[in-house]
Amino acid sequence: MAENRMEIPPMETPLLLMQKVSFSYNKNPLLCQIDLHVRPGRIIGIAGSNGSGKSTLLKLAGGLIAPSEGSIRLSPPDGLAPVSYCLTSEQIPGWMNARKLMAYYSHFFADFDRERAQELLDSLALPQKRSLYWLSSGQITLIALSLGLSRRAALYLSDEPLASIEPKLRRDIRRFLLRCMPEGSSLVMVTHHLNELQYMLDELAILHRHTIRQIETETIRRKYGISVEDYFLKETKND
Amino acid sequence: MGFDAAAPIYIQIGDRIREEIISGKYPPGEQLKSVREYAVFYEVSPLTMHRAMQYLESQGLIVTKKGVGSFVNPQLNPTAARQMVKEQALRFISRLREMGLSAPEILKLIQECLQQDNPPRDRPENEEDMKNG
Amino acid sequence: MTELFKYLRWDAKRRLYAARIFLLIWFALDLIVFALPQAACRWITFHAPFLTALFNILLALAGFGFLFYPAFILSASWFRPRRTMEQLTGISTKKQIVSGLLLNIPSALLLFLQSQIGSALMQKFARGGMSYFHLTFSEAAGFLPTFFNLMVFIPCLYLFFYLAIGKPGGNIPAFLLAYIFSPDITVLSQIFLPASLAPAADLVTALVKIVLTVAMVLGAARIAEKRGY
Repeated sequence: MAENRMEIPPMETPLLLMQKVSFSYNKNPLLCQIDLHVRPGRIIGIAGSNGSGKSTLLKLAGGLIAPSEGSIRLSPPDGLAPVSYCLTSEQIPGWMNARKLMAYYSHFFADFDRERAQELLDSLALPQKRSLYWLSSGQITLIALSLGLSRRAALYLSDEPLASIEPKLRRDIRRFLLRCMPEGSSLVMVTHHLNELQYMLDELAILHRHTIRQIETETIRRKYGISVEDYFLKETKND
Repeated sequence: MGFDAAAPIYIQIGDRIREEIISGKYPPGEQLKSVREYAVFYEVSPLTMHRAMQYLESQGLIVTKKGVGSFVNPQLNPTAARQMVKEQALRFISRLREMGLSAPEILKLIQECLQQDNPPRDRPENEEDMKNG
Repeated sequence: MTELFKYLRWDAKRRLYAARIFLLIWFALDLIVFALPQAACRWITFHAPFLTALFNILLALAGFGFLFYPAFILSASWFRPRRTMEQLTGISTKKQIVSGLLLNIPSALLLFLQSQIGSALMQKFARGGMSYFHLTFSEAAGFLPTFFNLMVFIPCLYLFFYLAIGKPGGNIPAFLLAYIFSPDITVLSQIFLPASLAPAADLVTALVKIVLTVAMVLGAARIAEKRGY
């Protein structure tokens, strides 16, 4: 797949460089020799069928788990944290609320900008003291994104921010991401919603059969003249 | 925002902004919205929006001052603008020809549309609809 | 060290919140029993003995929980998939295990306290020759050594055996082994003791157990990390 393998221009140091990364879960190989690079100022989508290891890939990038082999190198510019992994609604206990979550972030992360987080939460007009148990998953996602994006990081990771969310709120979340992403930082999203996100994504990484293929969305349009989702379906057809 | 899936997005956005400039919505010297604001409005990546701005700048339509923003070229040549409108008209006519209309038919069609379309001319939906088929 | 303490504060808050309903219920029950006038107690004893029986059973569970709690709750905490929020803080498995073991101590103390308070309150329902479950420590044993033995040493043994067995469902055997081995270690630590040190036998046992505990905690942490817990 030489046409799909992107070359890194020598000037730009990638924010994230994963080389030959492998990961197994309970002796079952999940990811084999994965290469992934993320340049500054990009929005990248990771797509793949269920169980293909997308969430695991994101956790590896975020440093939450360690690979069984391969290297993961994060090269943030000065003054920024290398990566900020945004929590999903399933990962936060129901008894937490926005305030407590903010306390958690303040407690553990020196790069957390509390004022900005408060600004974002206030702008969303969401109940900040109510337990997440009483909020919809869309509201929880917005809270989690507000806090994750308030860390001063070079790279932001989000696992299916649009999953199980009603259409109107999905649009709000898309715009929220575009509005709150700091200049020069990159965003990597695991997503199923390729149609809705196709104009927002600069690159697409397809996880298929334990390997990855990374391609610019502009290349998909120029070379194949099809939508990003159609390209994905084409590439994963023989499943 | 609906885009043509097969053509580069930054060009499509650039063209839309160009039309706004030519139509006078953004007069020469006026500051455009920031890259981020446009990105949110069109729901495209900031990188795409940067490319759109570069595209417009390469056409001499806008001038970008780093750290300040992008401005419609104050020295925008009215004939250059008109030239772009002419290019659009040529494209439109060739589309109609592809659909099988002869020159007199095209002329008649446009006259009908002009009668239907009441001035002021900020109701271009009819012509746009026809252009896009 | 500071990282561990930072994590401990979060872990303590998290556990407290997760257990808040349970704690509130106990607190409410205690208050109710405390506030009941003697006449009501007598009425309950005669006409609704199942209530006292129920409370008694719950107390017994709290008391036994004090014994079993470290073993089972400890295992539940570690061998369920690591929670993302904890992973996100970047803290090592080793520190997580140490934090959990340290926090088991106040948890167990709370349970013990509850069993003591509860059984004291239960005296209100006593009549005639009936006595109620009341956990006491013999003077000779002393609170601290017994507490350390039950709350720290045996859970560590349990953790060690659980990891050694390595299979799911190894809870019960690991627990039994821990209980069986604990007195053996006491004996073993004193077998080779020269006669001159005999008066300090207890101290030697205590030292041996402390060293073993530290070793087991670190060993368990390393194994857990390697197995990707």
